[in-house]
Amino acid sequence: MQVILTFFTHATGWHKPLPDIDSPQTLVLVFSEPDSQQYQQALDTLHKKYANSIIAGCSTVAGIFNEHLLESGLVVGIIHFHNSHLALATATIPRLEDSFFAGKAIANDLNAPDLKGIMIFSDGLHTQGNDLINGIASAIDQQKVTLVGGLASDKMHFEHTWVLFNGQANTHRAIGIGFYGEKLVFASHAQDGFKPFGPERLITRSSNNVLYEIDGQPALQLYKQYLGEHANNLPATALHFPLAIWNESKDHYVVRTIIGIDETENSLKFIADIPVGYHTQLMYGSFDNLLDGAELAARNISKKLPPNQPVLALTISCSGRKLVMAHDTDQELDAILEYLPKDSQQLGFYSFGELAPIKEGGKCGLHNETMTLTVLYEGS
Amino acid sequence: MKEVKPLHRRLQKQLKRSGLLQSSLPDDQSKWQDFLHLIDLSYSGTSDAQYLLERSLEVSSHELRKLYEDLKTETEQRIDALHKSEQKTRFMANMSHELRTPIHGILGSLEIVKDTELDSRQKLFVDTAYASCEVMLDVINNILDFSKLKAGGIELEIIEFSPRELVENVSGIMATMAQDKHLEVQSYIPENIPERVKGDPARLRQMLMNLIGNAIKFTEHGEVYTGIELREVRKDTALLRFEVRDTGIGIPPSMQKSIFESFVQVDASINRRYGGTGLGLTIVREFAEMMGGNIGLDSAPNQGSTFWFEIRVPISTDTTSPCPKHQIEGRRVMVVDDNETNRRILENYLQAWKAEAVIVSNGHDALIKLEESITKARPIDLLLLDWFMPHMDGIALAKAIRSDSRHDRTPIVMLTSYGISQEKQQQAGVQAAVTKPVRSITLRDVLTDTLRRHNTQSPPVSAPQIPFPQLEIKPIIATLPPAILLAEDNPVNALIAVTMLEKLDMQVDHVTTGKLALKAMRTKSYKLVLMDINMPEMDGYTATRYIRKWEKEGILKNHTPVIAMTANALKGDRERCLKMGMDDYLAKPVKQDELLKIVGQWLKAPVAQAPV
Repeated sequence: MQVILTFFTHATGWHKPLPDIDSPQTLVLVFSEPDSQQYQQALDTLHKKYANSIIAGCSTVAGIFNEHLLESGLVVGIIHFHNSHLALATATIPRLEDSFFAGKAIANDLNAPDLKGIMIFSDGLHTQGNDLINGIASAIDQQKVTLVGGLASDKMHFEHTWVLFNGQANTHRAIGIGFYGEKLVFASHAQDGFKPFGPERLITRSSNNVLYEIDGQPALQLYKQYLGEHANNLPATALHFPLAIWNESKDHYVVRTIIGIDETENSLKFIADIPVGYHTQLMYGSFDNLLDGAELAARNISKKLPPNQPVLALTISCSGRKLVMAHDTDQELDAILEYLPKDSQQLGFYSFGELAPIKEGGKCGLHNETMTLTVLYEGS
Repeated sequence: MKEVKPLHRRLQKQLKRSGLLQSSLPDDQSKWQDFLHLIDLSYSGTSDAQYLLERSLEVSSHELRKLYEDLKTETEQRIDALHKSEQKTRFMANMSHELRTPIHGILGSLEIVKDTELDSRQKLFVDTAYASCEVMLDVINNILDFSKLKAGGIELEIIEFSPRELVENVSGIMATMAQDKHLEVQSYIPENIPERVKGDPARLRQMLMNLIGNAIKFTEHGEVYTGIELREVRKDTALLRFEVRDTGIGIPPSMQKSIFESFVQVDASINRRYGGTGLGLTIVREFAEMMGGNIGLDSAPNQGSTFWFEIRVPISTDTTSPCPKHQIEGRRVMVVDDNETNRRILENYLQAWKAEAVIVSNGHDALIKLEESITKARPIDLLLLDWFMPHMDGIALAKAIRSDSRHDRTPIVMLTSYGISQEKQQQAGVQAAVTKPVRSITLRDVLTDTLRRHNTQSPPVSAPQIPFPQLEIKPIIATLPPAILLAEDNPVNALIAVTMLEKLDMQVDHVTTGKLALKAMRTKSYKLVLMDINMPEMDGYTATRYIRKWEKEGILKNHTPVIAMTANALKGDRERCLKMGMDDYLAKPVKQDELLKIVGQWLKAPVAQAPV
């Protein structure tokens, strides 16, 4: 497996020249600043140069290039597989409720006996993430196929996100890459680092991604009570205080980020759906905790790697984490690389929702505020 | 080099990330700045977390406090509801008292008349009246017991009695009732039935009355037979089978199981034709089960029915005194009852049993007589107290008696209209209770049993004489409580008001006209008057006018608040009442919390009390 990472900015041009490794077994991953027009030329170049390769990607608030964040430019990874092969599938999502069928269609297209993993990118503002996952899960066996991915993001304006398909920025669309091959190792780990605190409460009224009542009380009012003086800077501060949604057996939770508030409805708006009847808990994240979370993910995954086996780490982390860690966000990228085998490389983006197994080897879930780490390598 | 304590794990990590060593100063200032930056992030993260946790605790404790308040309110409401249901029970008790008192008077009087010289015609009428009264009482008992059964509030009595007398007596009464129908009512009691057993004769009597009453009701020709049979003797207990057999319409097999359910009769037409409450058999079954017994039925339509029940009872070992009268003969028994008829009846019974009766009409006189019994060394062997009495009821009197150790060993028997729980008996120091109306046999059995159990043959002469007997009078004066006067002509309204006011633990004197209210005001000082407006002889307005006039003239010493109670809930009523010199106003139907609130407000005004 050959991996060349590079980036493009208007100031520097291509950081590293594009290698001549176009083939059907080549994957080109592109993570771009949301304003795609200024990079159309660079995108066209990629499209031409890698005409036989599979090209996929999405918009992001920041791309990940090894231990660096790139907020204005394109981050590009060109990966040539020796023994594995690839496939691309896509589906449009005209309305939120079409998410399930989009996922199912993609999974049906990609499914094959030797399918190892699926990597999904989808429009971050027009996708019902859980439905998309359920659609995919309805067509594949998650014990054999690892499902990872992320929802495209923008510069925290929640206005315009897209996925790269056919060399163009596409909204209302999901794309999936299938990975096939005996020797391909495809492992994923998710870790948030936020800490739930306070009493567990029941979600009593919600609709899609809007939460109205917790324990029968107006959600926003209760949320403000907890936040105290931090409530003055809502909704910006909400990214620091997501909610944990516990599963029924209370052994795992997923994190949900608040992206808006409605004072008249006394409601909270989330980036993903909020199910009624589940228990929720307020969470807080501090720099130390988030960093510990990233480290833990890297440490756990590296334990399973053969020594001295360089890997490609595909890191999809939450845009909310970037907000909490601010200028020190690169520390989490640093921490990951530190724990991975020597000469490993890291590529990825900050997303509006992370798709990764909730627990190791388990079913895929939609996360927020989470760092998901997927490592790829071809064994000998 | 100085020993360095290992640093916090996070600090170690931060040093490592900044490329610094714990043991030496940084050679590069930017590394030092990196380090400080990391430390600063930790501090702000920690203090943010601390702030949030404090908020969380505050929210939780706020919620807990609210939860506590809500729970408290709810508990108070439940307690209030409980009081209301207690009040219902008390109302039932009062009603029961009201119903049983006249029946008691009739039965007792008739018993006395029965023992006088009568010609056969007179005897027939007296017997009929007596039996009718018994049947009426049985109906009332069934209804009251049924409501108590549902509430689980029935306790069986255990006293010594003669099953032979019981069956003969019930059968005799019921024979009178069957005269119209020309039915033969027979009973047979074999010789081997134990003379004295222990149990609840009043309940057994009720069961037999119900069964025989049904048998008579559903039989047109032939006979009703009541029998008792000794099935088995084991150790000191006997298994007795009571049986009532008739030659009536019988019960179809399909109905034989459900016939013991309440309100079930064979079919609806039966009810129209034969009447009845449908409660009798349920009560028989419930009582039989409470006594640990069985109940059963054999019947064939148009041939007749046999109802039976079997209970196991302890045989009384004291067979040496076959004549229980000996226990009572020559004993001094004090009767305390406010009702004159009752006093006369009880006196008559005691004289018949050759006991010496000391009769008084209230608790105050009873305490004086008791004191005399010690000073004159003529001890009282037993006290027979009525529960429902004005001023000082039977329970209060019993407690007053028990507070004096010289009377510790004098047994007390309480006459009640509604039964009294074992617990309450014990609290008040009461040894036995008899439910009214009292039948001579039952009363004799209870008195005999109590005297035997609490043997007071030797009076406690060892108790030292009190040198200043007048000291003993003192607590009686002290117990005169502040009182409320209720002027109300409607007995049900009055009963309700008295029941509601019980919560205040104050004496309530009840009069039925404005004139009687004025009379009461002149003989006694009241803290408050509740005045109905529409009353015969003199209405509430006039009575109040007189009260105010007398107060002005100094005939009445204090100003007594008068609260009007009227059903004329019209606009302007209140103004009229206030104009007439009343202090406040309550519209009927009066609610308890309103009544207690207003009465409580007016009672707060300090009024002189009798010195202690």
